[in-house]
Amino acid sequence: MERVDRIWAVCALTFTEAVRQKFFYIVLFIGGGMLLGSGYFQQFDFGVDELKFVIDFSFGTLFFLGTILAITASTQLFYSEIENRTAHTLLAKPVRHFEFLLGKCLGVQLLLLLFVLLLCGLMSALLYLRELSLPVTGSESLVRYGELWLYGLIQWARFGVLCGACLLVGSIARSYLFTMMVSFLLMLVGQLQYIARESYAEIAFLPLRWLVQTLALLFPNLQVFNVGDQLGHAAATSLPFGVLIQILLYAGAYTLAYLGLAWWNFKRREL
Amino acid sequence: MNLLQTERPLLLKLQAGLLAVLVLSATALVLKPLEENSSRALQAGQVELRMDALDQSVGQGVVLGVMGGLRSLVADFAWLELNRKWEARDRAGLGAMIQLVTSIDPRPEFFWINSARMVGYDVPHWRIAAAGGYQQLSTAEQENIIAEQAEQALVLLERALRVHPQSPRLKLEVGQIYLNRLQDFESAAPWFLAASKEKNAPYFVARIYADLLLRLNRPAEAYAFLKTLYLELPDDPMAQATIVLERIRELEAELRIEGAAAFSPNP
Repeated sequence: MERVDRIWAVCALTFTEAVRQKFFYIVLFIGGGMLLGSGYFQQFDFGVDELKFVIDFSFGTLFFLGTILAITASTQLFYSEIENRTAHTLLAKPVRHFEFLLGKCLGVQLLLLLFVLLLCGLMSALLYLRELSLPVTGSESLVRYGELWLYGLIQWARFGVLCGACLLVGSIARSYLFTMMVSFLLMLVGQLQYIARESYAEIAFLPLRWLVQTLALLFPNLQVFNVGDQLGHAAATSLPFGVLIQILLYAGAYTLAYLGLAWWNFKRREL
Repeated sequence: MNLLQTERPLLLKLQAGLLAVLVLSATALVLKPLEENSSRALQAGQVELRMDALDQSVGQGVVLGVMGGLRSLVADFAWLELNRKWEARDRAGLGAMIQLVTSIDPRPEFFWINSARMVGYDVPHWRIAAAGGYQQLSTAEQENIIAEQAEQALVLLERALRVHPQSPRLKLEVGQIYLNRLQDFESAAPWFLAASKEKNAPYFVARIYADLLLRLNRPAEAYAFLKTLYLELPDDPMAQATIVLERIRELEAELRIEGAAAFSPNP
C-alpha cells in the first residue's frame, strides 16, 4: 500500500508540474484552434463529405499534437528531475527507481488523458453542431459519437508506448535534446515500419533479410493504432471489439516492456 | 557490479543493449499474433494499406503513418497545386502532382476521375497545340496522341479501380474514355454494363449500354437487355421508364416483332 502511495505521490507531482507548464497550454490552444478552424479548412476539401473531413481532420490533430506532447512532456518531466537534482532527493527517500519511473509515466499519462478528453469533447461538440446544421437525411446520426472517444482511448494507449520509449531512451541518454530527438525517430520508425516490412519481404539475399527482420522486432508497429478510417463516420467499417482489446493489450505490453528496460538502466545509472 | 560500472563501462553498455534486444524481441514475438490480427482488421477497412505494388503504397504509407487524419487536408492542398499545373499546361508537373495526390489520399474518387479526365481529354489538346496545332498535324498523328493519352488515363483508372473495385463512376469513366476518346465501342460496352450493375449506378448508364449494342449492330441483344431493364426499373421518375419503353418499341419495329411476341410492360 505504501508503494502505491509513493507511486501516486510521484504521479501527482509530475502531473501538477506538467499542467503548470506553458507548453501544455500552447499545444492545447493549437489543438483547439485547429479543431475550431476545421470548418474553414473544409472549403479546401474536394474529395470526402463534410463530416468525414471534419472527423479526419480532428483525428489527425489529436494524433499529431498528442504525439508531440507525449514525447516532449515525457522527456522534459523526466529530465527536469535530473537536472534540478530533485531526483536525488526523491531517490534518497524510500522511493525506488521503478516507483519513480512508473510515477513519472502515470503523471504524463494523466496529462495526456486530460489532453485527449478535452480534444475529444471539443471534437464531439463541433461535430454535433455541424450535424445539426445539415439537412436531415434520415433518422440515424451520421456520426458515431462513442467511437470518437474510442479513437481517443486508442491514441492515449499509443501515447503510453511513446512515453515508455522516451523513458527508456532517457534512462540511457545524457542530454534532454538527444532523448527527444531519438524518441521522435523511434516514433517515426514505429509508424513507418509496416512499409519497411513489405520491402524486406522482397529481399532475395537471405542473411540480409533475416538481419532486417530481427531489427524490425526491436520496434513496435505503431500503425496498428491508426484506426481513424474505421471509426466515427456512419459509413465507416466498424472496428471489431476484439481488435480494440488486442490493440490495447499490444500497447500495454510494449509500455511495460519499455518501462522494465528503463528501470533496469535507470537503477544502474549514476545521477 | 561496481567493477563493471567504474572500470568497464563498455561492457555495461553492451549488457544493457543485449538485454534491450532480448526483451524487445521477445515482446515482439509474443505480441506477433495480436499485431497480425489487428493489422489484418485495419487493412480490411483502409484502402491505403491494400495497394498491390510497394511503390504505390510507400507514398501514402509515409503520409498516413506520419500525418494520420491530416492527410485529407494535405491531399486537398496538393490538389490545388495540381490545378495550378493544369492551368499552366505543365504536363510533367501535372503527372507528378496526380501521382502525389492519389498517393497521399486515394480514397476520394473525385481525384481519380478528374485526373483521368485531365490526362485523357485535356493533355491531347496541349500536345497537339505544342506540335503545331490541328491544322499542322495529320489525322493519324492526332489520333496517335489521343490514343497515347487515353491509354495513360486508363492506366490511372485501373489503379483507381484497385482501390475502389465497386465504383460505378470509375467504371463509367473507363467506358467513356473508350467511347469518346478511342471510339472503341466493343471495349466500351462491357464497362457500361459493369457500371450499370453496381449499386447507385446512374440510370442512364444502362441506356447507353443498350445504344452501344445497337451501334455494334446487335439489336436483338439490345432488345433483350432493354426488356429486362424495364422490368427491373424502380418507380422513380429519374429512371425514365417511358424512354426505355419507347426504345423497346422502336426495336420491335426494326426487328419486326409484333402481336403476342411483343413486349408487354405489365405481364
